[in-house]
Amino acid sequence: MATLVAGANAALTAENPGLDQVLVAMGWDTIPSHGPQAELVPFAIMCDSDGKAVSNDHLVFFNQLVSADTSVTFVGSSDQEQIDVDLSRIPADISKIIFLAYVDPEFRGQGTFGAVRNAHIRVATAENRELVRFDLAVSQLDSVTAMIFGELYRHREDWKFRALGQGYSTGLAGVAKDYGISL
Amino acid sequence: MNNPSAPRTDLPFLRRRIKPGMAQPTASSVPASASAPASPSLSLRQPAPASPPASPSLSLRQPAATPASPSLSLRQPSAAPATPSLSLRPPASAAQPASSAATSSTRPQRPSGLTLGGAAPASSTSPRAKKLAAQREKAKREDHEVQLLFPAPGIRDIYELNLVDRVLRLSPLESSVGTLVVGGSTAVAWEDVRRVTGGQTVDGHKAGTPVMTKGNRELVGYHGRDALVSLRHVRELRRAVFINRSSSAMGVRLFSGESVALPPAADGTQMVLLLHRIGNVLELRAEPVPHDWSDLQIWQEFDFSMTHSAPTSAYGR
Repeated sequence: MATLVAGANAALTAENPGLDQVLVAMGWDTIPSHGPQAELVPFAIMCDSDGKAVSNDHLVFFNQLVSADTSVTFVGSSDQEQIDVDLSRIPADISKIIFLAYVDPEFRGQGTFGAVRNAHIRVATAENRELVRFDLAVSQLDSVTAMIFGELYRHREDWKFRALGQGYSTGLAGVAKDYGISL
Repeated sequence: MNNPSAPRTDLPFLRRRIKPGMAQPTASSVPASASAPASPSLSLRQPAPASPPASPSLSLRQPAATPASPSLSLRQPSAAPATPSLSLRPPASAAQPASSAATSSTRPQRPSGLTLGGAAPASSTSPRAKKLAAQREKAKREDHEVQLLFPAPGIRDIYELNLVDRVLRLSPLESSVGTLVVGGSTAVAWEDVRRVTGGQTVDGHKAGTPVMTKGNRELVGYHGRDALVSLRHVRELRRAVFINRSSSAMGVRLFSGESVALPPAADGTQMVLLLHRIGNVLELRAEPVPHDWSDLQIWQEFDFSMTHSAPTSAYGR
């Protein structure tokens, strides 16, 4: 298992020949509350070579469990959320897959990542053998309402994973604007 | 007499149904070996990106040449290392995951187009693979359920739900982000997927059972004068009905800012808003009912039966 820092990347398929399926798991702990609390929503965006979402059918989240090409599947498990990626099924026009979590923009008080005590993203094999892990720095996130945890991307003939930890204060709307998602 | 070989194509509002025995093979039922994919190849052999990442790189293999960017290699180099190194390469016996037996070259070819719920790899018999297959099957069912619906406009297509434009349908994303806000309603009743049913008026009167979400908010309820549906938990919702007894219009607003209105009562008829979840989409429907009907009559008309927690005293043993 390797632990990454923000901005670092790791080769996946190059170092694991035959790796055609990975599990991308995101998890976090929030400060418990008896009142309304921030609800983080995991989200995956399949992007083209321009870095934009191919279409709204290429988003994977709790209400769209499988991408249009069935290569990315939303699976809940022991981590808060897990997303299964079948690398061999990803169409050639997909250059990268962004993994993020946003705080649901709830009308009765949205909350921020300030309520998050720790958060991580990890990439594992289909058998859940961990390949890489990235523990996000969770200090000074009081204004952050969406966070890109990391991305899977093509590099020549292989797939790599990059740890990001990029926060947005504009929430899902900001992410949607950057990645061309029609909300 | 109907001629099954010549369906009417001039009636777009009619859907032709085919008996299961006569059904043509669909994309998902066509034998994989017989379907040549028309879509781009699934090969991972892609040209290199124009600009390779310049960020610090954790490569798990020995680079062929000195990388341009700072790189941390964790693979055992072929030559004697100058510094201790950590290999992340799995042992040879574990290098091939079980699912890797179904590589792209040996995997049955799949049809092109929108095909949800592709078959799991043949080697996938683990609980995880079964879970994946179940998830894909669930998505396939939902997709099929939505495909069976008659076409309906989206919230961007109409300004008002009325006797002419009775229904609109939200996208999966619109149905799941933020809060659906209904302004101008005077009462709401809800039913969740477990048939837990409750109701509330804008004045705070309550009936039945509230449904609380993991975020410690009501799935459906009032906040000030607005009735709200927590879309983060839309999959817990089965349906809701919003009643408007005021003389002003009712309005529905989404996180995206898109909105639609329902007219106030007129000519002895009031419009109620029915909200249904069908698969992964929400459908909004305007239903006319007599203006003098009480809330209870409206609940009855739409088969909302309030659920109640039985008191402990009713427990006989």
